[in-house]
This record gives sequence, structure tokens and C-alpha cells, in this order.
Amino acid sequence: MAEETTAKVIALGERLRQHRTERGLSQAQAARELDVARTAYRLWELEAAKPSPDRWRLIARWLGVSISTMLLGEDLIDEQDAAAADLIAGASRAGDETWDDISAATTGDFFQQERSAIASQTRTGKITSAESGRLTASLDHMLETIQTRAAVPAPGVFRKELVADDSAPEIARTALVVTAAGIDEGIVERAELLTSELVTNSVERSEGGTLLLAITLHPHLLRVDVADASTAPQKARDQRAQWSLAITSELASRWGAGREAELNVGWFELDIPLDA
Amino acid sequence: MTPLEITKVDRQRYRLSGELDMATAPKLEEAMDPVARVNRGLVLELEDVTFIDSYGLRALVQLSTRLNGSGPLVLAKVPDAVQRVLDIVGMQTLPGIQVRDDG
Repeated sequence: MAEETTAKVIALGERLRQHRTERGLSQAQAARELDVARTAYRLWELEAAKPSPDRWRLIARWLGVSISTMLLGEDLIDEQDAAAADLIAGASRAGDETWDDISAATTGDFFQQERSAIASQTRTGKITSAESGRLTASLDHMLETIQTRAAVPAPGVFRKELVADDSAPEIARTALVVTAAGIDEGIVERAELLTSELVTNSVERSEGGTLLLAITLHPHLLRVDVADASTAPQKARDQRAQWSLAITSELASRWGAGREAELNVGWFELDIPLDA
Repeated sequence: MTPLEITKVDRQRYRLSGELDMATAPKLEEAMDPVARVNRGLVLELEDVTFIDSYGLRALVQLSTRLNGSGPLVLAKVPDAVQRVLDIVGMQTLPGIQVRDDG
């Protein structure tokens, strides 16, 4: 699949979003087709997380582009490497193995598969040892780049003042998902719901005003604080507010609500287990 | 953002996809209230609902009251993440609401 060596370099998130909307799919449907959790897919589109190498082939196949084109958009290879890989893909197409089609739609260790493909193509004389050396060096560089990216500690804090209107819960959930990128999917899902409850309660209290959102990610703890300065008298607790309380006390590790320094404050904490 | 989409399956059955919260609940009310008023019972397929919170739950309960006891509001094809929220608040114990995971 050497079809796009001259195509414009597009970041993966944008490419995924474009392809998905062209096909009229929701994020949930796209995630299902790619066999990943919805939150993970959402983060890819937001460029807040990167798919792991064992997903690369499947994603490239789904997008209908060559894996070199995709990696070019990820800044993982340069134009020269991409051209070399695509040239060899074209050269070997007549043979029994096609560069991009090896385990094309399966997941697995991308680097191991590439290395064995290079070895087998060198053995059968489809590529020269100079080309093989160049491709192996390119793979090593890619692996190093990914490991460097992975070693960057998760960004820990998000603070923002939001307009207290009906879009605030969704904005806060997106901020949460991005800030908590990389932690266990189940915990992110719980945290999304808890955040939505805190912000919805705050908007109901202070409609039209502003609210402060703070998301803090510690190594083993996720904490969200929401505050507003509404002085409106406390309304009777309706059914929704009771459900909100039930959801919060069921899902949060710890939580609280009250008045501090002239602000209405609500918060929750979720423990992040060591193995998550 | 994943806005709420409502698709008609047949006269008494609709499919929701996307997120149901403070931002999208008015859309549900606007689209479904007229339908609920003229039907005896209504089925909502929730398979593609990716998020629901207490505000979304309230929208569903309000919709069930529009049926005026003429039939239940059936929540069908409920995904696990939504089911967990329904379970916490005991949605299936409310009069006028049935939760089914098959179809």
C-alpha cells in the first residue's frame, strides 16, 4: 500500500475524526470497530493519547492508509524513512509477503513483526542489506521516540473557570478525560460520572454565574473540586439531587460538600489502585 | 462532544445515541414528549448511549410520566455503563419504567 507517499501529513487525531465523520460513525461505533474502549478512542481524536504500537496496523487498515503514512503523521518516521518503507512494500508486493499486509488487521508487537519481516526479506534477497540496515535503524529510532513519550509524567493539574450553563458538565468531563489520560478505563468512567454530578449540582445552584473546576491527578489518587459563589438559598433536595448523592456515595472513594471561604464547594477523590 | 441523536425505529420504538445530560436532555424532551402523549407505551433503545448522569435519568423519568400510565417506558438494549447508573438509583423499581437488556 504505497499509495500516499506524497500525501499531506495529517495528525492522527484529525485523520481519525475525519474518517469517522465521513462514514457517519459515532465515537462509540468507531471505538467498537477498532476494538478499543471509547475513552481511549476519544483521547486519540483529541491528540491527548497515542495508540500503542500493537494497534497501528489495525488503525492504518481502518483508515485505509499505509502504515508509513500514518506514522509520518505521528512524527515517528521522516519522509525518507516512509519513502524507503513504501518502496520496499511496493517491491515485495509481487512476493508472498507484502510489507504492509503482514498481520495487517491483527494486533501484536509491531516492532517484532517488522523486524522478522525485514530479516525474511533480506534473507530472500527482496531487499539489500543496506536497505535492511536503514529500516532497522528507523525502527530503533521509532521505538526510542515512543519510549521517551511514555516516560513523560502525566500532566497533573487542570484548573479553569467555566460559565455555569448547561454545557459545563460536558466540558468538565472532557477536561477530566484528557487530564486523566492513561489511567484505568474503569476509573476514568467513574470519574466522568462523578464530575458530571458535581458540575450539574453547581450549575443548578448558580445558573448563569461561573464555577471553578480543579482536576488533580496524583500518582494514586484523582481529585476533582468544583466551587461556585452562588448565594441563592438552598433549594429543597429534589429527586435528581438525591440520585446525584446516591451515585456519588456509591462511586467515590471519598467526597464532601459544603461552604468554605464564601464558596460552595463539592469534591470527590478516587483511589487509583497500584496495578491499574 | 457527542451530541444526542434520536432515530425512529417504528411508531413506538426509538433509538438514542450519544450522551444524555444537562445539555442534551431538552432535546430528548422536545423530540419525545409529543410521541409519548399519543402512544400507549414507548421503547427507547439505549445501546449507543455512551453517558448518562442524574440529569439524564430525570429526563427519562419525566418522559415516562408523559405516558400518563397508559403503558410503560421500556429502556431496551441497555449497555453496561448505563445499567450501572440505573442500578445505583433503583430505576427499575420506579412505576412506569421497565428496564430490559435484550431488545
